[in-house]
Amino acid sequence: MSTYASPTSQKTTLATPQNRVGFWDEPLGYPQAFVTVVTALIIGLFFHVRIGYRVPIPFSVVAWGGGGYALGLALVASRGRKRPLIKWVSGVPFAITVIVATGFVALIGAVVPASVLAKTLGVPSLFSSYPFWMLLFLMQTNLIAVTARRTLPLTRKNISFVASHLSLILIIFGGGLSGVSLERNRLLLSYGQANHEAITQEGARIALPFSMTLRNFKLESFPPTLALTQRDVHAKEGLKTTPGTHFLKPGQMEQIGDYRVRILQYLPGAALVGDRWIATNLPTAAPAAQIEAKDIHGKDTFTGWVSCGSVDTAGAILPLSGESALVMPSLRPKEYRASLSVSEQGKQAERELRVNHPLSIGDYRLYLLSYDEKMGAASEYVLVEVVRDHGIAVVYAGMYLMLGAVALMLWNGVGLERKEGQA
Amino acid sequence: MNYAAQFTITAWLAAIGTYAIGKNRQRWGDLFTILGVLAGGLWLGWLWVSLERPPLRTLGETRWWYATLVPALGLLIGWRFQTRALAIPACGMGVLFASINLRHPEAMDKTLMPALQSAWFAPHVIVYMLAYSALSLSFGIAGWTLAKRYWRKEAFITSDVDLPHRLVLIGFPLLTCGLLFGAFWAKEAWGHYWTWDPKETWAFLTWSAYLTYLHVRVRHALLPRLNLWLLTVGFVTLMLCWFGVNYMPTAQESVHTYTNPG
Repeated sequence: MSTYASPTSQKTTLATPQNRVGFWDEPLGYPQAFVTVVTALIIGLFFHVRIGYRVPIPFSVVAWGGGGYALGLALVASRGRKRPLIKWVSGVPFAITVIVATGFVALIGAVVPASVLAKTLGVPSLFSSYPFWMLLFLMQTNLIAVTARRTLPLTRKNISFVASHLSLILIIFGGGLSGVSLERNRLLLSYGQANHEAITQEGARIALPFSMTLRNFKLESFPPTLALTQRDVHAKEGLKTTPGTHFLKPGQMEQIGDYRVRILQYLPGAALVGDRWIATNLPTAAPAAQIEAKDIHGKDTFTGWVSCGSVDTAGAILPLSGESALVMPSLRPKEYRASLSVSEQGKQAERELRVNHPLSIGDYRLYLLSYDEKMGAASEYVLVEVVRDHGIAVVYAGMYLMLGAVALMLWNGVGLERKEGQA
Repeated sequence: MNYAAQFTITAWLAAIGTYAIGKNRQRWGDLFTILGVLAGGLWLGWLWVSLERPPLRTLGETRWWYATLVPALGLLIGWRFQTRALAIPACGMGVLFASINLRHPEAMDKTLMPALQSAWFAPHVIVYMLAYSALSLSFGIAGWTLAKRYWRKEAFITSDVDLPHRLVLIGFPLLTCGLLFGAFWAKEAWGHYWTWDPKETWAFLTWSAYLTYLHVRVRHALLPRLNLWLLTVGFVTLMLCWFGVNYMPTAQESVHTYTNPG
């Protein structure tokens, strides 16, 4: 146990006037790292002002240029590991300065809405801007240099270090490849109509090497619940809502706020005909329930129908005493799926698309994004996101390697690693 | 809910009292802690079965996990590293978060939006709750040490950081796992592993804060006060990521809107 020592008495890379001639003379440390980071940010801003927010960079430039830079730097760093510049650029002060700077830029993006940044700075996404990319370049430089310095000889002691840093190199490099190659297009599929034209994020139309047709759309919703709404000037939008928790079924009792509510009748699909609710199995039917609500403090009892309504049927609420009512909130989707015909190079196949279950067609991955929420189960179209990402394999390699690295770190953290001299 | 919460709070309060009374009653303290953890665990298990989904959707539900995991982790790490320093803070945090849930009861229902119906959902949130628990305990010890040293006007010593650092070595890998599981899940659900959504950005900031701490710890192990302050900054970032992001101007741009403020 050592006592607290003042910062001046510690080993530090802070330069002192006695042991240096110029700013970039040894020892290099935090001030030089700070100047480097600020310079990188200024260069990034210069790019932004002179050539715009984001100019398309060819994939090959990032792949070969980035790969070449990484290999070259790794070679230089491993052969010249004792050179002051390599020691500095791979050192902890440089790493800390870059991480903190990246954190500060990310903090702006975390607090200021993207729409405000786009309006004021002309930057739709701070994280795709040149200044942020410059910081990632510095981080990558630090990571490559330190990994190259520490990899050989590879021992049990440094394997966790090497794996964690190498995994970050792969993730950032893969992220860079994704950044210049990612295609996120939207494909609108209507019933019975083949479509192969997707809309890019910039609003342009592009032709896909396959076409798709929506054959069937199924939407399953959770059964409805009830909620008590009361006028409350202090609440958001002047209404206080107390949600019920039970899915509706005949005979069910539930207390919501100051009312004991009983379900007298429940129709999963209903339509209002005149002043009566009748059961129907039309796709645009709405759930409806006849309920009885008793005030637990008084003797008032209210009976009536409630429904969330649908595109064809108006909803219904049950007014209670005072300025309150029992309502049926809109149905929440449980699952939706689309049956599709996929036509590619003259071959036809039937496929099904669900949320969390993407489809792969060639280089493309397809995700079910949304449907016509107003029409619900009667939606006549679905929106599919068509993604192509040439950096994904590198990113995934990095993420799996990082999982291994953190497993080792956890093993060491819990103290299960073998100590020196142990069998 | 009230009975489960009241039982767990009572058990952990009894544990705190027992730990505080004296060293020869530690086993009774452990027993009370275990009883509280078991009650909390049974309550979460019952919720999982009755809601027919993992009770990990809302802030209130995640607070239950946190309230149960912090004392459990405090006990396990205490046994592993032969320390009693975590016992009272762990139970104290459990009491605090269970009390918040008791004070602000949430209406729990069975609904779960399609994007959350993924095999990644439970591992992602549970591993995060474990990470948050370890890092909160780290902050608990760091904050207590800072307050104690400043109050008594004592010098900081390097061993002040030993236990909080050990907890970061457990919490940080779990935090990284949480990030990675979230990225794998996002790729399956939305088509891209990282979109700089406000919640993701705050998760990155939390991770960066602890990454900075780990690097500072390597370079400046002889600056215990700086290390302890960095742990405090890390914990504040973590709390902003967990709760605060819902109240920020960027919240409306987040797809993580299912975490309604509870």
